[in-house]
Amino acid sequence: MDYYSGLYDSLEKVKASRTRRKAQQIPKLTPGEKQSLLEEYHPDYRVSGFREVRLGQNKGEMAPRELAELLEAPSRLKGIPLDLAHPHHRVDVLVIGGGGGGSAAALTAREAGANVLLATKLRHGDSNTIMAEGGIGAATRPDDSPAIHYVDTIRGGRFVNVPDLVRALVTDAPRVVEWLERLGVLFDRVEDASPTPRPAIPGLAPTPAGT
Amino acid sequence: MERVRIVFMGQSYEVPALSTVLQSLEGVGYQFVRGVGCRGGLCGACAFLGHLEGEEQIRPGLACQSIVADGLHISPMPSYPVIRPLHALEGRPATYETVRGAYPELLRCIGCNTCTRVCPQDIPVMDLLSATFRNDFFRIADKSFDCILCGLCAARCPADIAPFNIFLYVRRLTGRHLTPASHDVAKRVEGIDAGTFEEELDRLMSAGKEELEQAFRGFQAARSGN
Repeated sequence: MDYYSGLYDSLEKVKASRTRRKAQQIPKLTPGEKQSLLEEYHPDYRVSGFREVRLGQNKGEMAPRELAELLEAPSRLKGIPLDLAHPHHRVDVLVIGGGGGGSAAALTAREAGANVLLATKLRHGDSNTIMAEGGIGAATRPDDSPAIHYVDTIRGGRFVNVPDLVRALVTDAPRVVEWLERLGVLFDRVEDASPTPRPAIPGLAPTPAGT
Repeated sequence: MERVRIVFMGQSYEVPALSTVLQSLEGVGYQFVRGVGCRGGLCGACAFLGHLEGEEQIRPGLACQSIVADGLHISPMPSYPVIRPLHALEGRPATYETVRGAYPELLRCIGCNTCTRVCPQDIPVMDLLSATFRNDFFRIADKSFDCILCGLCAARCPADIAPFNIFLYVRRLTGRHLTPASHDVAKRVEGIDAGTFEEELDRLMSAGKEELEQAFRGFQAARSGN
């Protein structure tokens, strides 16, 4: 794929300023400066981007304006004649979403003998899972452990995670990697006699990468 | 700002010359629900077939990655009708015969190489189709790894072959039968089943923030010592 011709001018500018930029010292931001930058520009921090939800389950909570509008919006099914006595599909399990989570749920339910319908907006697999290219968080290497994965996760979640769920995550994760291997998923591996998934994300528990 | 003319559904639009096909169409008011996914060239949902006035060749691409051009006619391809047979792994060896059994149309390939020319990921598609005949599965798995299943190869194939599906099956067969399972993963699962980590996890679950921070620093020190 070629660059758009205008981009070559831009590349030249980057080259021309490289020496100057390499020598440039950029002072570190203080926590206060960081916070005020975030509050001014970051959509998750800007107070004006939030409002109170007025209805339903989340009534009284603050939410991003777009989300609040969505939660309060009238049902799209209003005015559409629906005969619930005669559904178009009759299944044991309906899975909504066709990414990694939805696919795993559907496969697991199917393996357990259920009749499954998976509904997804785009094509199966057009999902966040395929965009997460850093790897899978699973403590599979000998120098890693579910305990390390547990602490990393709790700390990364600023200590508000539900401990039971994190424990389930860190003890199930290696099993899921094994399951994926059986399904023929290809992992990046370290090149030694014992093929193991490679560590991928610094600061997280070493993880297998790729799909 | 420099502008160019594009044509979509019989209508001409003046759009910024620097915009992608997707940006230009959204910019003039179209809203796509299905033919757009990640907007980053990874999901493969926004394939389109384009045609530049005065040219004979079809210009395919991903709408989120391709820059518009003056006189570009655009036909989005949110999906393409292909049959995907069951990609059975159990009891099916990773061989050409297995792939041919699932995809007999493979034999209809006339070697025109159009699939390779249209691939937005620069995958040597036809070359890899012929690699199935040689049982060269590792090569196919490696070279087709960047496939985003956009379907353009299938859309342009005169023999109704869907190479992207064939490669997906080859990758699954390769992962299942030709790649040894990881000893480390198996050992770790064994350890979990044997309850090796229960005590440590019990302790961590009842630990407060300070203890967890301390445990984290301990793990970090051990890691950098390795």
